[in-house]
Amino acid sequence: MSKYFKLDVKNKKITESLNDFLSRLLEHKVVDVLLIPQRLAKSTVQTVIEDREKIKDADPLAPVIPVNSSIIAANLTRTTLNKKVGIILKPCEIRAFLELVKLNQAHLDNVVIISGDCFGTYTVSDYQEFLKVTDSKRASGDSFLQMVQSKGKVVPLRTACQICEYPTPQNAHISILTCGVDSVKEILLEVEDTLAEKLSPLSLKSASLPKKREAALLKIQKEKKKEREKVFKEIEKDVSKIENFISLFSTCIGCQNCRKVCPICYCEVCLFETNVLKYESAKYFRWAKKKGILRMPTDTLLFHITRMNHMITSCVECGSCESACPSKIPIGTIFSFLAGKAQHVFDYKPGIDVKDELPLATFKEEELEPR
Amino acid sequence: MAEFEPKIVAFLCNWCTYAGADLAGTSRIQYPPNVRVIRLMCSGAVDPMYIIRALIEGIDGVLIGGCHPGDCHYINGNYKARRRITILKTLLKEMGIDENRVWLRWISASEGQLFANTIKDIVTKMKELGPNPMRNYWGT
Repeated sequence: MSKYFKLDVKNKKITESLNDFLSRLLEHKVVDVLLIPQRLAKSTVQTVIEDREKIKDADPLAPVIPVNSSIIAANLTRTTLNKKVGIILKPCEIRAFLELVKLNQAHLDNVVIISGDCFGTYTVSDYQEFLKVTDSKRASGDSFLQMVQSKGKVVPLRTACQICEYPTPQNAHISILTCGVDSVKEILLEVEDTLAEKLSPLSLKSASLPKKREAALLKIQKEKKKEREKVFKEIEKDVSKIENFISLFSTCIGCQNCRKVCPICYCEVCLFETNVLKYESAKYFRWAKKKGILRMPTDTLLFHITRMNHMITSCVECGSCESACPSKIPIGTIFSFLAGKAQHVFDYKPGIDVKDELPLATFKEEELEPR
Repeated sequence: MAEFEPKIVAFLCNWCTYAGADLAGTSRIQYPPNVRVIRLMCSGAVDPMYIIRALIEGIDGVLIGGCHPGDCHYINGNYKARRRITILKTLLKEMGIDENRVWLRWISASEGQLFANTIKDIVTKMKELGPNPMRNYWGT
């Protein structure tokens, strides 16, 4: 069960009243430290702050994911914390964070997850385009929210966001609700019961869910679902034939950015950076002789299909891989499409329930037969 | 033209299937010579990468042989292999690589005949499927 509170918004400055609330979390020691996105010149980046005075440039609703913050949150919570840490994550980042908890790369003790309705995000470069067309004095989160709600023309979102299944956060201790809420006047906070008691020194006004929220959410989900089906239909054509699959990855330059930014690919040293894939020269010539031609560098498809096999059951479809690809390969879309198929086998949804076991870390004695 | 002879790679677990293959040999049970055996400690030790590599290079069929469920020398390696291979086959199918080229079979140390029969089966099925088209693609 959750409790609902509202924050008044003055002069349409949503972020300002939100920042005021977040700084009071620090003031009343609900949390000791905050992980919070702040404006830094041409971008908005995650920052760690203890001093509530330093919250001024915070832009917690900024529509950009420079890196999937679950990686940052995992760095902060690798060992047991002696401080209460509030981390501001987007819904997809929470899902990745929960997967990292299951993979023993992060901990939930002493963590307060703060999230909000997410209408989508830009890549870092598109975010700069977006900033150019908005009022520089306003927080980018405010401008974006207004654009979305007034249906203005916006720079296209990342594909992963266009086809996102979960625009509203799950498993957050505090959720900032703006969808179906008259956010120019007020913001709604959904707070987990156990935490709600601790918020009493903040003397927040209690509230209830507006009736129109359900319909507003449903509308967004319906739009995204439609887009998802369209995008998947396109990608299925490219994926389902091996020639097309090879052609998709013909522009891959082997930088492995997709792996480096992936929150689930947590291995300290990737198999593909080890000596397992360094060969003596004779081997290249033998391969070249066998097929007549050998693509160099080798192992492009091997890398992608293997990485897929290693992490796809935990893929939360954040699309970080696609944003990081210099060749603009629709790799996030490919992974999203295939992740659904692989996760369906085990009826597994990553990042939804921390108690659901990782499919590859467990088994049943009687299953999957005949093979 | 000579009949197509498929090439099969077999990843066999040290404790059951490899011993089963050994028994087939010492018992002089005949089976087709199309198979190249690689001995591993456990079917659960087969990283999907090695299967993918074999398929990309144009191997026609891959056999992963492990102990029967409940008999794994390492308690549960074969159960984990079963999950991994299931994911691999699901993905291969979506990518248009015939997932029937990957065989996971449980063969114990006493089942020399079963090992020989399994190899016969694979060779027959791979002859039906024809050569692995991946051998014609170099852009991998």
